[in-house]
Amino acid sequence: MLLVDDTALLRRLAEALEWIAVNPAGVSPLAVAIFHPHLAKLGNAIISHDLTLRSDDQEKLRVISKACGSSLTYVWGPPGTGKTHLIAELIAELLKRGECILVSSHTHAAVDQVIYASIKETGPLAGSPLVSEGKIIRIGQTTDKRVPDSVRLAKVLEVKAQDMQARVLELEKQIQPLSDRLTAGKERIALWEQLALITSKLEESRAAVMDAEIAHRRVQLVMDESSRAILQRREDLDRAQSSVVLPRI
Amino acid sequence: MHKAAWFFRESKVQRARGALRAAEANAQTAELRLRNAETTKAAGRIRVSVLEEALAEARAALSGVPALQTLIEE
Repeated sequence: MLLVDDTALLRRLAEALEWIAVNPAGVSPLAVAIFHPHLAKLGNAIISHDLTLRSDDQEKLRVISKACGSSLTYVWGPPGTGKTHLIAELIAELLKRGECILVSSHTHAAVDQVIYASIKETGPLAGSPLVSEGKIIRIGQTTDKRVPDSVRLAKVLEVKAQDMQARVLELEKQIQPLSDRLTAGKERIALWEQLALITSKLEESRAAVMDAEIAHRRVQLVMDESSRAILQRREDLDRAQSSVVLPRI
Repeated sequence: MHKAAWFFRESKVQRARGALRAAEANAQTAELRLRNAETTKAAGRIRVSVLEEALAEARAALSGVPALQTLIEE
């Protein structure tokens, strides 16, 4: 069994934080902004979203404007002052600006509350297509029944898988007639190729026949000449056989 | 007949016979070549005829089929 001192982890955490505090290089920009706030970008942004805040809630509008224009913003407030609702509004505003958002907390319940505050009927993302399109995903364990299935990771994946399956089936349907056309086209091309091959062989054979005819005529001439030579030699032989030897004078 | 004259006549006859045999051998060779040429020619004509038939069949199979370029463009 491994026994760990109760304070060992805390001491290790404190050491790590101290190390980040003195070595800003090599750590994430967010960590740098947290430990070196003087390096953080601070500013105010013009809010474009139609906020569901009360029109007289100027303090929250100012916080959202500052959060959108800065790389780091701390918000503190006692319970029931609207922090969760503010976060929901901030999420909606950042989505409007095309940002990708990660909401994290040290408790699952807090994350669930933010999601519910965002998508509930009176929330800033009520009825938003982002929910039905699976663009808002709750990752991790959740026991809050108010968080709908449509944002839970398993359900989102299931819906995506069904969509993909339907798409695959549709594409397979589209492929079939194309495949049939391709096969028919290949068969026709094969016919044309066969025609070209036969034509080529025919030309070769015709040329060979012409060559054979020329050779035949040449041999015929040789044959005629040979026949004439035989006649000539026979005559020569007859003459030799019939020649008369004259006595010596 | 004088002996020398007989030999002279006999050698002439032998030369004439030799020439005749050579001419006959040449004629025989030429005849063989002629037969060979005739066979080659006949075989070529048969091949041409077979190929013409195959060509006609291929053309018949292709009647109504779009031109090769059209098929490739498709």
